[in-house]
Amino acid sequence: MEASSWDALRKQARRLEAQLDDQMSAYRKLISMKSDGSENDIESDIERSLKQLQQVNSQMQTWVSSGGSEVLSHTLTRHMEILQDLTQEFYRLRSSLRAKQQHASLLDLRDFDRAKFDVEEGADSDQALLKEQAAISRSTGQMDTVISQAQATLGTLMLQRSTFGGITTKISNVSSRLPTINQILSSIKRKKSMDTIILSLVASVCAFLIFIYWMSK
Amino acid sequence: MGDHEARGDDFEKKAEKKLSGWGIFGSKYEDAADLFDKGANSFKLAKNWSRAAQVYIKIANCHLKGDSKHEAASAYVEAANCYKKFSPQEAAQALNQAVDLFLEIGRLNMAARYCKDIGEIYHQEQDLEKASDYLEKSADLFDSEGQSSQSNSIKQKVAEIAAQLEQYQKANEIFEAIARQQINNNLLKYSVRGILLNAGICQLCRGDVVAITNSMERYQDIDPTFSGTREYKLLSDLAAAMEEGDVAKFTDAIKEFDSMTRLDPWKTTLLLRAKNELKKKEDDEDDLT
Repeated sequence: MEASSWDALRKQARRLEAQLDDQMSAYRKLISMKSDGSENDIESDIERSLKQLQQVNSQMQTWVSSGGSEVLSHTLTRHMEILQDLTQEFYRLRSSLRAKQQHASLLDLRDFDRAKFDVEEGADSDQALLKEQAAISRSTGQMDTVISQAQATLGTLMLQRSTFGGITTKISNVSSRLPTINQILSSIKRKKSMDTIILSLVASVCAFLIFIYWMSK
Repeated sequence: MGDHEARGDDFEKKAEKKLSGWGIFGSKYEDAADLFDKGANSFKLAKNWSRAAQVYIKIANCHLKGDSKHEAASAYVEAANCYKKFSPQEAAQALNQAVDLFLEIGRLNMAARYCKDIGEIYHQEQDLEKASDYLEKSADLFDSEGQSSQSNSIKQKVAEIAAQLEQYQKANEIFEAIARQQINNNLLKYSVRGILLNAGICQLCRGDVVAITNSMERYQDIDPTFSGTREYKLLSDLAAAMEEGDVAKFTDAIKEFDSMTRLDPWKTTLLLRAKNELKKKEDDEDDLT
Protein backbone atom coordinates (compact mmCIF):
# COMPACT_ATOMS: atom_id res chain seq x y z
CA MET A 1 0.00 0.00 0.00
CA GLU A 2 2.64 2.52 1.04
CA ALA A 3 4.98 1.43 -1.73
CA SER A 4 2.32 2.05 -4.37
CA SER A 5 1.50 5.34 -2.66
CA TRP A 6 5.13 6.43 -3.00
CA ASP A 7 5.23 5.38 -6.63
CA ALA A 8 1.99 7.24 -7.30
CA LEU A 9 3.37 10.40 -5.69
CA ARG A 10 6.58 10.14 -7.65
CA LYS A 11 4.73 9.61 -10.92
CA GLN A 12 2.55 12.62 -10.16
CA ALA A 13 5.60 14.75 -9.40
CA ARG A 14 7.23 13.71 -12.68
CA ARG A 15 4.06 14.48 -14.62
CA LEU A 16 3.78 17.92 -13.02
CA GLU A 17 7.43 18.66 -13.78
CA ALA A 18 6.97 17.76 -17.45
CA GLN A 19 3.81 19.85 -17.58
CA LEU A 20 5.64 22.80 -16.04
CA ASP A 21 8.42 22.50 -18.61
CA ASP A 22 5.85 22.79 -21.40
CA GLN A 23 4.10 25.72 -19.74
CA MET A 24 7.39 27.53 -19.20
CA SER A 25 8.31 27.08 -22.86
CA ALA A 26 4.96 28.51 -23.93
CA TYR A 27 5.38 31.41 -21.50
CA ARG A 28 8.88 32.16 -22.78
CA LYS A 29 7.67 32.13 -26.37
CA LEU A 30 4.80 34.40 -25.43
CA ILE A 31 7.14 36.94 -23.87
CA SER A 32 9.35 37.11 -26.94
CA MET A 33 6.34 37.42 -29.27
CA LYS A 34 4.96 40.44 -27.37
CA SER A 35 1.36 39.36 -27.79
CA ASP A 36 -1.20 40.63 -25.30
CA GLY A 37 -4.03 39.08 -23.36
CA SER A 38 -3.27 35.42 -22.81
CA GLU A 39 -0.22 35.75 -20.56
CA ASN A 40 -2.44 36.03 -17.49
CA ASP A 41 -3.97 32.64 -18.23
CA ILE A 42 -0.60 30.98 -18.64
CA GLU A 43 0.69 32.65 -15.49
CA SER A 44 -2.17 31.37 -13.38
CA ASP A 45 -1.74 27.90 -14.91
CA ILE A 46 1.94 27.89 -13.99
CA GLU A 47 1.21 29.12 -10.48
CA ARG A 48 -1.37 26.38 -9.98
CA SER A 49 1.04 23.71 -11.22
CA LEU A 50 3.80 25.00 -8.94
CA LYS A 51 1.43 24.86 -5.98
CA GLN A 52 0.40 21.30 -6.83
CA LEU A 53 4.04 20.26 -7.15
CA GLN A 54 4.73 21.87 -3.78
CA GLN A 55 1.92 19.83 -2.22
CA VAL A 56 3.15 16.60 -3.79
CA ASN A 57 6.64 17.32 -2.45
CA SER A 58 5.18 17.93 1.01
CA GLN A 59 3.41 14.57 0.89
CA MET A 60 6.63 12.90 -0.21
CA GLN A 61 8.42 14.65 2.66
CA THR A 62 5.85 13.29 5.10
CA TRP A 63 6.30 9.81 3.66
CA VAL A 64 10.09 9.98 3.96
CA SER A 65 9.95 11.36 7.51
CA SER A 66 7.86 8.39 8.62
CA GLY A 67 10.52 5.82 7.91
CA GLY A 68 11.72 6.13 4.34
CA SER A 69 15.16 4.96 3.30
CA GLU A 70 18.13 7.05 2.16
CA VAL A 71 17.46 6.43 -1.50
CA LEU A 72 13.99 7.91 -1.16
CA SER A 73 15.39 10.86 0.78
CA HIS A 74 17.84 11.50 -2.03
CA THR A 75 15.08 11.34 -4.62
CA LEU A 76 12.97 13.76 -2.59
CA THR A 77 15.84 16.23 -2.40
CA ARG A 78 16.20 16.08 -6.16
CA HIS A 79 12.51 16.87 -6.64
CA MET A 80 12.76 19.79 -4.25
CA GLU A 81 15.71 21.14 -6.22
CA ILE A 82 13.69 20.94 -9.42
CA LEU A 83 10.78 22.79 -7.81
CA GLN A 84 13.17 25.48 -6.60
CA ASP A 85 14.67 25.94 -10.07
CA LEU A 86 11.27 26.13 -11.74
CA THR A 87 10.02 28.67 -9.22
CA GLN A 88 13.03 30.94 -9.68
CA GLU A 89 12.77 30.68 -13.46
CA PHE A 90 9.10 31.63 -13.32
CA TYR A 91 9.79 34.63 -11.09
CA ARG A 92 12.51 35.82 -13.43
CA LEU A 93 10.38 35.51 -16.57
CA ARG A 94 7.42 37.19 -14.92
CA SER A 95 9.56 40.08 -13.72
CA SER A 96 10.96 40.69 -17.19
CA LEU A 97 7.46 40.58 -18.70
CA ARG A 98 6.15 43.03 -16.10
CA ALA A 99 9.05 45.39 -16.81
CA LYS A 100 8.33 45.38 -20.54
CA GLN A 101 4.62 45.91 -20.03
CA GLN A 102 5.14 48.78 -17.60
CA HIS A 103 7.64 50.46 -19.88
CA ALA A 104 5.27 50.26 -22.84
CA SER A 105 2.38 51.46 -20.70
CA LEU A 106 4.35 54.41 -19.39
CA LEU A 107 5.07 55.63 -22.95
CA ASP A 108 1.85 54.48 -24.59
CA LEU A 109 0.87 57.80 -26.21
CA ARG A 110 3.53 57.49 -28.89
CA ASP A 111 1.16 57.35 -31.88
CA PHE A 112 -0.91 60.31 -30.74
CA ASP A 113 2.20 62.40 -30.16
CA ARG A 114 3.59 61.48 -33.55
CA ALA A 115 0.44 62.80 -35.23
CA LYS A 116 0.71 65.98 -33.19
CA PHE A 117 4.36 66.32 -34.13
CA ASP A 118 3.52 65.96 -37.83
CA VAL A 119 1.03 68.82 -37.57
CA GLU A 120 3.59 71.06 -35.89
CA GLU A 121 6.24 70.14 -38.39
CA GLY A 122 3.96 71.11 -41.25
CA ALA A 123 3.39 74.49 -39.65
CA ASP A 124 6.97 75.66 -39.22
CA SER A 125 9.60 73.13 -40.27
CA ASP A 126 12.63 75.46 -40.26
CA GLN A 127 12.20 76.50 -36.65
CA ALA A 128 11.63 72.90 -35.63
CA LEU A 129 14.87 71.88 -37.32
CA LEU A 130 16.79 74.64 -35.52
CA LYS A 131 15.37 73.56 -32.18
CA GLU A 132 16.30 69.98 -32.91
CA GLN A 133 19.87 70.98 -33.79
CA ALA A 134 20.22 72.91 -30.54
CA ALA A 135 18.91 69.94 -28.59
CA ILE A 136 21.36 67.63 -30.32
CA SER A 137 24.27 69.94 -29.48
CA ARG A 138 23.30 70.04 -25.83
CA SER A 139 22.95 66.26 -25.82
CA THR A 140 26.40 65.82 -27.33
CA GLY A 141 27.91 68.06 -24.68
CA GLN A 142 26.22 66.13 -21.92
CA MET A 143 27.36 62.85 -23.41
CA ASP A 144 30.96 64.08 -23.39
CA THR A 145 30.59 65.00 -19.74
CA VAL A 146 29.17 61.60 -18.90
CA ILE A 147 31.93 59.81 -20.79
CA SER A 148 34.67 61.71 -18.99
CA GLN A 149 33.05 60.94 -15.65
CA ALA A 150 32.80 57.28 -16.61
CA GLN A 151 36.47 57.14 -17.55
CA ALA A 152 37.53 58.68 -14.25
CA THR A 153 35.27 56.27 -12.42
CA LEU A 154 36.69 53.33 -14.33
CA GLY A 155 40.25 54.23 -13.40
CA THR A 156 39.38 54.58 -9.76
CA LEU A 157 37.42 51.34 -9.80
CA MET A 158 40.35 49.43 -11.25
CA LEU A 159 42.60 50.80 -8.51
CA GLN A 160 39.97 49.86 -5.95
CA ARG A 161 39.73 46.38 -7.40
CA SER A 162 43.44 45.69 -6.96
CA THR A 163 43.24 47.00 -3.40
CA PHE A 164 40.31 44.77 -2.61
CA GLY A 165 42.09 41.84 -4.19
CA GLY A 166 44.94 42.28 -1.74
CA ILE A 167 42.55 42.71 1.14
CA THR A 168 40.63 39.61 0.16
CA THR A 169 43.77 37.51 0.06
CA LYS A 170 44.85 38.69 3.50
CA ILE A 171 41.41 38.20 4.98
CA SER A 172 41.22 34.70 3.55
CA ASN A 173 44.53 33.84 5.20
CA VAL A 174 43.44 35.24 8.53
CA SER A 175 40.04 33.59 8.47
CA SER A 176 41.58 30.25 7.54
CA ARG A 177 44.01 30.54 10.45
CA LEU A 178 41.59 31.63 13.16
CA PRO A 179 39.45 28.46 13.25
CA THR A 180 42.66 26.44 13.28
CA ILE A 181 43.88 28.41 16.29
CA ASN A 182 40.59 27.80 18.05
CA GLN A 183 40.86 24.13 17.25
CA ILE A 184 44.44 23.99 18.56
CA LEU A 185 43.42 25.72 21.76
CA SER A 186 40.54 23.34 22.34
CA SER A 187 42.78 20.35 21.62
CA ILE A 188 45.34 21.67 24.11
CA LYS A 189 42.61 22.11 26.68
CA ARG A 190 41.38 18.58 26.05
CA LYS A 191 44.86 17.06 26.38
CA LYS A 192 45.49 19.08 29.51
CA SER A 193 42.34 17.74 31.13
CA MET A 194 43.33 14.22 30.10
CA ASP A 195 46.78 14.70 31.64
CA THR A 196 45.19 16.00 34.81
CA ILE A 197 42.94 12.97 35.07
CA ILE A 198 45.79 10.55 34.46
CA LEU A 199 47.98 12.27 37.05
CA SER A 200 45.16 12.12 39.58
CA LEU A 201 44.64 8.43 38.95
CA VAL A 202 48.34 7.65 39.36
CA ALA A 203 48.55 9.64 42.58
CA SER A 204 45.49 7.95 44.03
CA VAL A 205 46.79 4.48 43.10
CA CYS A 206 50.11 5.23 44.83
CA ALA A 207 48.35 6.52 47.91
CA PHE A 208 46.21 3.39 47.99
CA LEU A 209 49.29 1.15 47.74
CA ILE A 210 51.00 3.06 50.56
CA PHE A 211 47.88 2.59 52.67
CA ILE A 212 47.89 -1.17 52.00
CA TYR A 213 51.59 -1.39 52.91
CA TRP A 214 50.99 0.53 56.13
CA MET A 215 48.10 -1.72 57.13
CA SER A 216 50.08 -4.93 56.53
CA LYS A 217 53.02 -3.71 58.59
CA MET B 1 27.34 8.11 -5.15
CA GLY B 2 26.08 5.13 -3.16
CA ASP B 3 29.46 4.66 -1.51
CA HIS B 4 29.50 8.23 -0.26
CA GLU B 5 25.96 7.86 1.02
CA ALA B 6 26.79 4.68 2.93
CA ARG B 7 29.95 6.21 4.36
CA GLY B 8 28.01 9.26 5.50
CA ASP B 9 25.45 7.04 7.18
CA ASP B 10 28.23 5.13 8.92
CA PHE B 11 29.86 8.29 10.26
CA GLU B 12 26.52 9.60 11.46
CA LYS B 13 25.82 6.38 13.38
CA LYS B 14 29.25 6.50 14.99
CA ALA B 15 28.69 10.09 16.04
CA GLU B 16 25.29 9.28 17.54
CA LYS B 17 26.85 6.42 19.49
CA LYS B 18 29.58 8.74 20.73
CA LEU B 19 26.97 11.23 21.89
CA SER B 20 24.95 8.66 23.78
CA GLY B 21 28.10 7.20 25.35
CA TRP B 22 29.89 8.17 28.56
CA GLY B 23 32.66 10.69 27.95
CA ILE B 24 35.46 9.90 30.38
CA PHE B 25 38.39 11.31 28.46
CA GLY B 26 37.97 14.59 26.61
CA SER B 27 34.76 16.09 25.29
CA LYS B 28 32.29 13.76 23.63
CA TYR B 29 30.73 16.76 21.86
CA GLU B 30 33.97 17.59 20.07
CA ASP B 31 34.48 14.01 18.94
CA ALA B 32 30.87 13.69 17.82
CA ALA B 33 31.15 16.96 15.92
CA ASP B 34 34.23 15.69 14.09
CA LEU B 35 32.44 12.52 13.07
CA PHE B 36 29.33 14.45 12.05
CA ASP B 37 31.52 16.71 9.93
CA LYS B 38 32.92 13.72 8.06
CA GLY B 39 29.40 12.41 7.57
CA ALA B 40 28.12 15.74 6.26
CA ASN B 41 31.03 15.92 3.86
CA SER B 42 30.15 12.48 2.50
CA PHE B 43 26.53 13.48 2.03
CA LYS B 44 27.63 16.56 0.12
CA LEU B 45 29.74 14.37 -2.16
CA ALA B 46 26.67 12.19 -2.67
CA LYS B 47 24.69 15.37 -3.48
CA ASN B 48 22.14 14.52 -0.81
CA TRP B 49 21.67 18.10 0.33
CA SER B 50 18.87 17.51 2.81
CA ARG B 51 20.81 14.92 4.79
CA ALA B 52 23.95 17.08 4.69
CA ALA B 53 22.01 20.09 5.99
CA GLN B 54 20.45 18.07 8.81
CA VAL B 55 23.87 16.77 9.85
CA TYR B 56 25.28 20.31 9.89
CA ILE B 57 22.45 21.33 12.21
CA LYS B 58 23.51 18.47 14.50
CA ILE B 59 27.10 19.71 14.36
CA ALA B 60 25.90 23.15 15.41
CA ASN B 61 24.01 21.64 18.34
CA CYS B 62 27.14 19.72 19.41
CA HIS B 63 29.24 22.88 19.35
CA LEU B 64 26.59 24.77 21.30
CA LYS B 65 26.68 22.12 24.03
CA GLY B 66 30.47 22.34 24.00
CA ASP B 67 30.21 26.14 24.27
CA SER B 68 31.96 26.86 20.96
CA LYS B 69 29.74 29.55 19.49
CA HIS B 70 31.97 30.43 16.55
CA GLU B 71 32.09 26.83 15.33
CA ALA B 72 28.33 26.50 15.82
CA ALA B 73 27.73 29.62 13.73
CA SER B 74 30.02 28.32 11.00
CA ALA B 75 28.10 25.04 11.00
CA TYR B 76 24.83 26.94 10.59
CA VAL B 77 26.32 28.78 7.63
CA GLU B 78 27.30 25.49 6.03
CA ALA B 79 23.80 24.15 6.65
CA ALA B 80 22.37 27.24 4.98
CA ASN B 81 24.58 26.66 1.93
CA CYS B 82 23.10 23.17 1.60
CA TYR B 83 19.53 24.36 2.20
CA LYS B 84 19.89 26.98 -0.54
CA LYS B 85 19.92 24.17 -3.07
CA PHE B 86 16.33 23.17 -2.39
CA SER B 87 14.67 25.26 0.35
CA PRO B 88 15.49 28.97 0.64
CA GLN B 89 13.19 29.42 3.62
CA GLU B 90 15.16 26.96 5.74
CA ALA B 91 18.40 28.48 4.49
CA ALA B 92 17.24 31.85 5.78
CA GLN B 93 16.35 30.34 9.16
CA ALA B 94 19.76 28.67 9.50
CA LEU B 95 21.53 31.91 8.57
CA ASN B 96 19.39 33.72 11.13
CA GLN B 97 20.68 31.41 13.85
CA ALA B 98 24.24 32.02 12.65
CA VAL B 99 23.65 35.78 12.80
CA ASP B 100 22.36 35.54 16.38
CA LEU B 101 25.47 33.60 17.43
CA PHE B 102 27.85 36.01 15.70
CA LEU B 103 26.13 38.89 17.47
CA GLU B 104 26.56 37.12 20.82
CA ILE B 105 30.33 36.73 20.36
CA GLY B 106 30.70 40.26 18.99
CA ARG B 107 31.55 39.48 15.38
CA LEU B 108 29.40 42.26 13.95
CA ASN B 109 31.17 42.17 10.59
CA MET B 110 30.24 38.58 9.86
CA ALA B 111 26.76 39.04 11.31
CA ALA B 112 26.22 41.97 8.94
CA ARG B 113 27.36 39.95 5.94
CA TYR B 114 25.06 37.00 6.65
CA CYS B 115 22.20 39.32 7.52
CA LYS B 116 22.59 40.77 4.04
CA ASP B 117 22.51 37.24 2.61
CA ILE B 118 19.22 36.58 4.42
CA GLY B 119 17.76 39.78 3.00
CA GLU B 120 18.78 38.77 -0.51
CA ILE B 121 17.25 35.31 -0.09
CA TYR B 122 13.91 36.82 0.92
CA HIS B 123 14.13 39.36 -1.89
CA GLN B 124 14.63 36.52 -4.35
CA GLU B 125 11.62 34.78 -2.84
CA GLN B 126 9.69 38.04 -3.37
CA ASP B 127 8.99 38.52 0.34
CA LEU B 128 9.74 42.23 0.34
CA GLU B 129 8.80 42.95 3.96
CA LYS B 130 11.22 40.44 5.43
CA ALA B 131 13.89 41.34 2.90
CA SER B 132 13.61 44.99 3.92
CA ASP B 133 13.84 44.16 7.64
CA TYR B 134 16.98 42.06 7.30
CA LEU B 135 18.69 44.45 4.90
CA GLU B 136 18.04 47.33 7.32
CA LYS B 137 19.52 45.30 10.15
CA SER B 138 22.54 44.52 7.98
CA ALA B 139 23.03 48.20 7.09
CA ASP B 140 22.91 49.13 10.79
CA LEU B 141 25.55 46.53 11.61
CA PHE B 142 27.82 47.73 8.80
CA ASP B 143 27.38 51.27 10.13
CA SER B 144 28.41 50.04 13.58
CA GLU B 145 31.62 48.71 12.06
CA GLY B 146 32.27 51.94 10.17
CA GLN B 147 31.85 50.50 6.68
CA SER B 148 29.76 53.24 5.14
CA SER B 149 30.12 52.24 1.49
CA GLN B 150 28.69 48.77 2.10
CA SER B 151 26.01 50.26 4.33
CA ASN B 152 25.02 52.80 1.67
CA SER B 153 24.62 50.23 -1.09
CA ILE B 154 22.40 48.14 1.19
CA LYS B 155 20.42 51.19 2.25
CA GLN B 156 19.78 51.98 -1.39
CA LYS B 157 18.24 48.53 -1.78
CA VAL B 158 16.15 49.13 1.35
CA ALA B 159 14.90 52.41 -0.10
CA GLU B 160 13.97 50.77 -3.40
CA ILE B 161 12.03 48.06 -1.57
CA ALA B 162 10.30 50.68 0.59
CA ALA B 163 9.19 52.52 -2.55
CA GLN B 164 7.87 49.28 -4.03
CA LEU B 165 5.86 48.81 -0.82
CA GLU B 166 4.50 52.37 -1.26
CA GLN B 167 6.39 53.76 1.74
CA TYR B 168 7.48 56.78 -0.26
CA GLN B 169 8.35 59.09 2.62
CA LYS B 170 10.71 56.53 4.15
CA ALA B 171 12.31 55.81 0.77
CA ASN B 172 12.77 59.52 0.08
CA GLU B 173 14.43 60.12 3.45
CA ILE B 174 16.85 57.23 2.93
CA PHE B 175 17.80 58.43 -0.56
CA GLU B 176 18.40 61.98 0.70
CA ALA B 177 20.55 60.74 3.58
CA ILE B 178 22.66 58.65 1.18
CA ALA B 179 23.03 61.60 -1.20
CA ARG B 180 24.21 63.89 1.62
CA GLN B 181 26.78 61.34 2.66
CA GLN B 182 28.08 60.61 -0.84
CA ILE B 183 28.39 64.23 -1.96
CA ASN B 184 31.47 64.60 0.24
CA ASN B 185 33.24 61.73 -1.50
CA ASN B 186 35.00 62.75 -4.70
CA LEU B 187 34.43 59.36 -6.27
CA LEU B 188 30.83 58.79 -5.26
CA LYS B 189 29.50 62.27 -5.97
CA TYR B 190 28.93 61.44 -9.62
CA SER B 191 26.15 59.05 -8.67
CA VAL B 192 24.43 61.57 -6.41
CA ARG B 193 22.37 62.76 -9.39
CA GLY B 194 20.89 59.30 -9.83
CA ILE B 195 20.12 59.01 -6.13
CA LEU B 196 18.44 62.42 -6.05
CA LEU B 197 16.41 61.43 -9.11
CA ASN B 198 15.23 58.33 -7.24
CA ALA B 199 14.31 60.49 -4.25
CA GLY B 200 12.41 62.88 -6.52
CA ILE B 201 10.49 60.03 -8.12
CA CYS B 202 9.38 58.91 -4.66
CA GLN B 203 8.08 62.41 -3.99
CA LEU B 204 6.21 62.39 -7.30
CA CYS B 205 4.48 59.19 -6.27
CA ARG B 206 3.26 60.88 -3.11
CA GLY B 207 1.47 63.40 -5.32
CA ASP B 208 2.11 66.46 -3.14
CA VAL B 209 3.24 69.31 -5.42
CA VAL B 210 4.37 71.59 -2.59
CA ALA B 211 6.48 68.80 -1.10
CA ILE B 212 8.02 68.18 -4.52
CA THR B 213 9.02 71.82 -4.88
CA ASN B 214 10.50 71.93 -1.39
CA SER B 215 12.36 68.70 -2.05
CA MET B 216 13.90 70.02 -5.24
CA GLU B 217 15.16 73.09 -3.38
CA ARG B 218 16.67 70.74 -0.79
CA TYR B 219 18.33 68.74 -3.56
CA GLN B 220 20.00 71.87 -4.89
CA ASP B 221 21.32 72.54 -1.39
CA ILE B 222 22.72 69.02 -1.27
CA ASP B 223 24.30 69.17 -4.73
CA PRO B 224 24.78 72.66 -6.26
CA THR B 225 25.38 71.17 -9.73
CA PHE B 226 22.10 69.24 -9.70
CA SER B 227 20.09 72.09 -11.24
CA GLY B 228 22.08 71.80 -14.47
CA THR B 229 21.48 68.10 -15.01
CA ARG B 230 18.95 66.27 -17.13
CA GLU B 231 17.64 64.57 -14.01
CA TYR B 232 16.68 67.95 -12.58
CA LYS B 233 15.03 68.93 -15.86
CA LEU B 234 12.99 65.73 -15.85
CA LEU B 235 11.88 66.24 -12.26
CA SER B 236 10.91 69.87 -12.82
CA ASP B 237 8.98 69.01 -16.00
CA LEU B 238 7.16 66.21 -14.22
CA ALA B 239 6.37 68.46 -11.26
CA ALA B 240 5.00 71.14 -13.59
CA ALA B 241 2.91 68.58 -15.46
CA MET B 242 1.60 67.26 -12.17
CA GLU B 243 0.72 70.74 -10.98
CA GLU B 244 -1.19 71.44 -14.19
CA GLY B 245 -2.73 67.98 -14.23
CA ASP B 246 -1.48 67.37 -17.77
CA VAL B 247 -0.91 63.66 -18.51
CA ALA B 248 0.33 64.26 -22.05
CA LYS B 249 3.00 66.68 -20.84
CA PHE B 250 3.98 64.16 -18.17
CA THR B 251 4.39 61.46 -20.79
CA ASP B 252 6.34 63.74 -23.13
CA ALA B 253 8.87 64.60 -20.43
CA ILE B 254 9.41 60.93 -19.60
CA LYS B 255 9.72 60.03 -23.27
CA GLU B 256 12.36 62.66 -23.86
CA PHE B 257 14.40 61.41 -20.90
CA ASP B 258 13.89 57.78 -21.86
CA SER B 259 15.08 58.37 -25.43
CA MET B 260 18.54 59.17 -24.10
CA THR B 261 18.77 57.18 -20.87
CA ARG B 262 16.75 54.01 -20.74
CA LEU B 263 14.66 53.87 -17.56
CA ASP B 264 15.25 50.83 -15.36
CA PRO B 265 12.30 48.67 -14.25
CA TRP B 266 12.15 50.24 -10.79
CA LYS B 267 11.80 53.77 -12.17
CA THR B 268 9.34 52.53 -14.78
CA THR B 269 7.13 50.99 -12.12
CA LEU B 270 7.06 54.08 -9.92
CA LEU B 271 6.58 56.56 -12.76
CA LEU B 272 3.73 54.44 -14.06
CA ARG B 273 2.10 54.64 -10.64
CA ALA B 274 2.48 58.42 -10.59
CA LYS B 275 1.08 58.68 -14.11
CA ASN B 276 -1.91 56.49 -13.27
CA GLU B 277 -2.60 58.64 -10.21
CA LEU B 278 -2.43 61.78 -12.35
CA LYS B 279 -4.70 60.25 -14.98
CA LYS B 280 -7.22 59.35 -12.30
CA LYS B 281 -7.18 62.92 -11.01
CA GLU B 282 -7.65 64.26 -14.53
CA ASP B 283 -10.61 61.95 -15.09
CA ASP B 284 -12.15 63.15 -11.83
CA GLU B 285 -11.82 66.75 -12.95
CA ASP B 286 -13.42 65.92 -16.29
CA ASP B 287 -16.31 64.30 -14.46
CA LEU B 288 -16.75 67.40 -12.35
CA THR B 289 -16.74 69.56 -15.46
